[in-house]
Parts: sequence; structure tokens; C-alpha cells
Amino acid sequence: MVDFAIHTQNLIKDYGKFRALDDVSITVAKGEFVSLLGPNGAGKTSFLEVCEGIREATSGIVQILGKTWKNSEDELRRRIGLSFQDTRFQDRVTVWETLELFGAFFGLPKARILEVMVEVQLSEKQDTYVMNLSGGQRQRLAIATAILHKPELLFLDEPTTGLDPTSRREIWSLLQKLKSQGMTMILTTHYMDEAEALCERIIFMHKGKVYKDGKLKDLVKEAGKQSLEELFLSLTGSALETQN
Amino acid sequence: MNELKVFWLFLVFLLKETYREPAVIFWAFIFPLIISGVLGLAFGSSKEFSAKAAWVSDSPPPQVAGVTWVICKEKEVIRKLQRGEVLLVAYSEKSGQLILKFDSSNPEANLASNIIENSIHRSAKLENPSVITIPIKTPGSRYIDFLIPGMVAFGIMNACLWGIGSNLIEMRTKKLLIRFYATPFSKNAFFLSFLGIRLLNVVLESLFLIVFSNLVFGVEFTGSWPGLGLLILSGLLCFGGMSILLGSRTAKTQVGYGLINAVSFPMMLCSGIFFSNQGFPEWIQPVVQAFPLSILADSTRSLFLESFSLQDILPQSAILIVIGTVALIFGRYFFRWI
Repeated sequence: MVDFAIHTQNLIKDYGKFRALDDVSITVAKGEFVSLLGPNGAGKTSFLEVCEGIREATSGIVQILGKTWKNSEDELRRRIGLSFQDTRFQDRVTVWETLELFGAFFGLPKARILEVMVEVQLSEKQDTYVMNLSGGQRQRLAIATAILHKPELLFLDEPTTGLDPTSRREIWSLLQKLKSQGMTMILTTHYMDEAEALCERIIFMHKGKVYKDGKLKDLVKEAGKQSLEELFLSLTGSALETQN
Repeated sequence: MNELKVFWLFLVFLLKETYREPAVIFWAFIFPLIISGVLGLAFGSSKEFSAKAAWVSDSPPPQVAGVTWVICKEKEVIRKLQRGEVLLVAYSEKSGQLILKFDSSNPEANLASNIIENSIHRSAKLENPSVITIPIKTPGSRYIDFLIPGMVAFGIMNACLWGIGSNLIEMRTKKLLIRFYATPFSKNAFFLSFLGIRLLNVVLESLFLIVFSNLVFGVEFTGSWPGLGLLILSGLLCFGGMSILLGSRTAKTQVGYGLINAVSFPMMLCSGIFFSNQGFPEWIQPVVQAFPLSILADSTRSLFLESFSLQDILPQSAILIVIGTVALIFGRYFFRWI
């Protein structure tokens, strides 16, 4: 019985001469809600993409739900969910048609689609074209396509970027509900309040390395800061100083 | 003043953004040169007008600058006109009159007729140098009869290259492909869906064109319907495979659309869709005739005008299927979702 959702060891990812991930070892237990934080270029998206099986690691170990992408791609595709930043669905199809298509990929019954539409609060919009949805509704649709098949592990890449505060709160509420259902989630975000509100564990990345990893409260307390934002600024500031 | 400054800065910004993309340099500057060169080769290699005309009399044809006579028998004439191998047919009567038969709706044929007529009148070498022009109205020999089968073939190519190739690129740009990748949706099912929807479109478009041209212009389809079905399928596989290959990797619309144009534009010009490709020099004919669109257009024309059977078009269909299969295999191999 594997008790971790993600396990990476000495993970390296190079893009030509640029090292995006440098000896990254992270383990995420099942049921955890983890936030990856760091400035642009820190390696967050590269880490997610390697874990999501979208990119291959240059070297190191990557195990997702105890499996490797090389040996169990089909199985993993059915057990994980991906929600990308800025996905644009086809404009002139309805919410229902979009979910129906993604449901069909997993062979799901219509009842499950109806259930998810209620969960993401898009039931009233089921016959609305995607192009007529608001930004928040589109993002909820994106999350809906990612959770249709009840994944055990959900990757969320900046799910609230560009959304208004109300839409962000709606997404948070949805993610908290998923968390209460026991779903393991890993989130990248630039919003400190988001990480603070949703995640119990924070991983700071910088220059492709894990800079800090721990419980939110412990990290803030240890650094003697008042908030995660203060901690982030102090960490990224000191990291930059170290480099210079 | 500030608005002018903003305008200028934005203009420079756009200029930099555009011309920092190396592909733009190719498509904006080099590609038009290549196309101009091809067109120049086809139509501008000599300053004088050049046309091929059929001569069906026993007597020698008159010397006319710019006109190459193709000596042929009466029974071959219609076929040569239908295939666009000659622009007009000429023969001399015993009285010495020169008869010119051509489709008056074809501008090139009109021009060739005028040149011949003027030349004859100037030289007056024939005993009775009057020229009689007879417009061809017989279905099967008109420009529209030449054009419609070509348009059917052209429609198949366009439906695939733009309907599949550009769609793949757009979906990749919109990050929709990566969403599909995150599911168990297989590449095979994905490509088959594209080919399936294009098949439906192509069949409907072709039927629409055939019915329309028949009702409005009296263009007749004289060949085998199963043969046409096979050609449509072969063309779809051929251009569908090429589209998947063209759209297999790029996530930049400028590059992708440029690639599609680079493939479709020369074929559109050189495959004898809107006008005969017989004007190209002999040495380049093998290349032009090997274009998939040339093969598809010529076969479709044979089905329309020469009553070809299913068996008659099997070799051409086989070539298209082979091209399509090879392109599809490479396209599938190179394809990436992101």
C-alpha cells in the first residue's frame, strides 16, 4: 500500500543548457494539500509538468501514486487530474457538451456529469456557450473537466490567476470541498492569501531548488514573520542576496 | 503629442515582435519570391504569349509565333481539350478557310485565337485566308467542365489542410490539446475524429458542387460513382495525413499557417485546378504531375469527362493512399500535444 501521492528524488530537468529543476526531492502524502510557491522561473511549472507526465525528467526518480509514467501512463491518466492555467475551450460549444466530451474520454455516465456540474455550480449554465462564460465560470469548467473522473491526485496550475475576488473565493470554496473529500492536491499560485487559505504545507522553490518545505504555521513561526507574504518576500529577498 | 508617442512606441513594439520571429522573414520575403519564380517559370519564361493548339488537318499547320501546334487525330481532340493539353482546335477547310474551335469563356483560348487570326491575316499564306471561329458549347469541352472536377479535388485538399492542420495548431495554441493529453483520449481516436468530420464535409461539399454545376452549367459526371467515392477517400487520407504532419508540432500560428500555405499554394497554382498546367516547361512536368493535387485533380477530371471506371483510377488512388499513409505515420510519430 503506497501512502504517498508524489515522490521525487534527485530530480533534474534541463532545457538545453538551462537547469529548470536541480536535485529536487519532494514527497507528498495522500490527502495533503500542498502549495508550490516561488518567483517566476523558480521551477514550479517544470516540477508540475514532470509530475504530470507532460515532460520527461532529465534524471532522477518520479513516482506518482507509486507508479512511474514510463510503465503506467494509461493508469495514471485515469487516476490524476490536471487543471491548467489559461485553458481555452472551444468557444462555440456548451458547458454540457464540453463536459460530455471529457466524460466520454473516461467513459463516465451522464449522471456523473450532472453531479460535477452541481459541484462546480455550472448547472444553470449547461446550455451556455463557453465563449459566453465569465472568467471564473471558465476556470470552474476547467476544474470540472479535471475532476470528472474523481482523480486521487489533482494538479492545479495557478487556478485563480486573472480572476476577480468573488470568482477566486468560489474556486477556493470548490477546492476546500474537494479537500474535504480526501483528494490530494498540489497547487502553484502567486497569491499568498490563496496558499494560506487552502494549503497546510508550503514548498518554496527558487532557481530550480527546494528552498523551504514545511507546515505553513511552522515556517511562518520559525522565520518570525506575521504572514506568508512577509515570509515569501523575506525568503525570495534573501535567496536573491545569496546569489548576488 | 503623447498619443503620437504611444502610437510610435506601439508600432515599434509590434514591428520588433513581428520581425524577431525568424519564420516571418521567410514567409514575408523569401516565400513570395519562390512563388513569383514558379509563376514566372510557368507563364513568364518568354516575353511572348505561348499556347498549345491542336491541328487536325493533313496539310501542314500555319506558322504562328507563340503557338505550338500539336498534330492529332479528330478523335483525340476532345480528350486533349478536356485535359487542358491544348487551348483550341484548328483545321483548314478545302476552301482554305481556317476553322478555330475553342471555349469562348476561356480567356487564354480567346487570346490564342486572336493571335492566330491576326497572324493569318497578316501573312495571308493560306489561299483564302479567312478565319472562322466556332465557340465550343458541347458539354465536356468547356472551361467549366475543366474547372469543376479540379474544384472538387481542390476542395478536398483545402478541407484537410485548413480544416485539420490549422485546427491542430489552433487547439495547441489554446492549450486545448494538453487538456486532451491529460485524459486517456488516444492519438488514434483523436486523428480519426478529425478525418471523420472532414470526410463528412468533403462528401457534402463535393456532392453540392457536382449537383450545382450540373443544374447551372450542365456539367455531367460520366464516370463511376464508386470510383469517385474511392478518390474522395484516397484524397482525404492523402491530405489528411499531410495535414496531421504539418500540424504535428508547431504551437505558433504564424509558422503553422505558413507551412500550410507553403504546401497548398504551389499545388493550387501548379496542379491544373484553375488553368491547365501544360504551360510549364517539359523538364518540370514530372514534378508538377507528381503533386498529390495534380494526381487527384487529373483522376477526378477523368471520372467526370472520360467515363473512367473504378478500376481505371485504382493506380492513382493507390499513390494517394501511400502518400497519405506515410505522412500519417510520420505525423503521428512527430505529433505532440503541447
